Amino acid sequence: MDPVPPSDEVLMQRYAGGDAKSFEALYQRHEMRVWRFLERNVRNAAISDELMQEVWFSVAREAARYRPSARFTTWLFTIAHNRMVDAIRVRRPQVSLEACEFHDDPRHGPHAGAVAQEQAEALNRAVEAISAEQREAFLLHVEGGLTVEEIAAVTACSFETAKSRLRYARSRLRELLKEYL
Amino acid sequence: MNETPPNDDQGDDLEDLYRRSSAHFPSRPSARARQAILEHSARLAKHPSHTQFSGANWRRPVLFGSLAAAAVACLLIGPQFLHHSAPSPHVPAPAMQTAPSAAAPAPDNSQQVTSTATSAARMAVSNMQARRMPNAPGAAAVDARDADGRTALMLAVLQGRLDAVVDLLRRGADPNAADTAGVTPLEAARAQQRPEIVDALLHAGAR
Repeated sequence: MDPVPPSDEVLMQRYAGGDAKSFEALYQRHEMRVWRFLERNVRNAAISDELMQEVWFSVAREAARYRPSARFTTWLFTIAHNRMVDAIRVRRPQVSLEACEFHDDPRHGPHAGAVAQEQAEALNRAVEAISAEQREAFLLHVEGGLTVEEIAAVTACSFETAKSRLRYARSRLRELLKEYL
Repeated sequence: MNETPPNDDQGDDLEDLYRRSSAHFPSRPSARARQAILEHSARLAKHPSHTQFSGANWRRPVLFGSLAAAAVACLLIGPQFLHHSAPSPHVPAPAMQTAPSAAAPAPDNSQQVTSTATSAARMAVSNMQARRMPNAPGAAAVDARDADGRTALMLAVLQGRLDAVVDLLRRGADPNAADTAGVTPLEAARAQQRPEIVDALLHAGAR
């Protein structure tokens, strides 16, 4: 066992060499990041579930073509963005635009701190309230760790546009969440 | 709204709140999706050559290819393919076009509905095979592929759309058309644990 957890890039290379456990480790590490990115953008659990499979199927299929010169998360969220764009364009009527109902999380339930839960609910509502472009820029940044330059490349817009979207997103979220900050 | 983006260089507190709140995110991928992903990756790991193919660039959007395959599906089986509400992976695919009398599946009779859908699919495929004309005009278009080499049939399988699978097979779709990773519709259906689709594919000659 490695004393230090292997990087994403190392795990990808190991998987490309046939080590299935490395893929599992990568999946565990990034599962919820990708899921939240998809779910918060698409707002439909069933479609997000399908997209989740498509994203990770692509990661598995294209592992041998991955080069460590590109950060794994940038590559991963590029795939997620592309799949999501496909879904939105092809299945636009089914990609829910209505407010997502906040339902109880069975993993936490009554034992979760009420304050933390309230904050999480407020944050969910705030993320839903901002525009789709701003939301995606913000999520690519906080979930994928993408830089402004990378966000611009992934979403096919200029650096200034990506920067603007990210700033407006933060500004609006801060305004909506001021009592929790 | 201002022309100039707000000056906001204090993202840390917001991002801290986001990360803290992420632990309370109210949903997660289904167990079925997780299992399908890990099984698929393990299968490809046994055949590393399946993860390699040429001619594609990971930065290239797959939009056009996917839309092409979806357009074929739309033209062949009608716009309901595109406007269909994707079924939850937790719920067996309803027997829509193949068994219009089947009611929407209730939570406690999913096995029965799956059985009904399987029977309907089997009958539909059996009937269509008598009429199937592989060389008929349009037969090639049915097997148009997206950037990942997926046919409309494969997309229908991945979406769990039994009705679309049956329709595409009826129209001459190749049940053995593997994608660029070498995954066949039958393998995909098995990975997704959709016995009714597996059954329809087997009856159409899938190997």
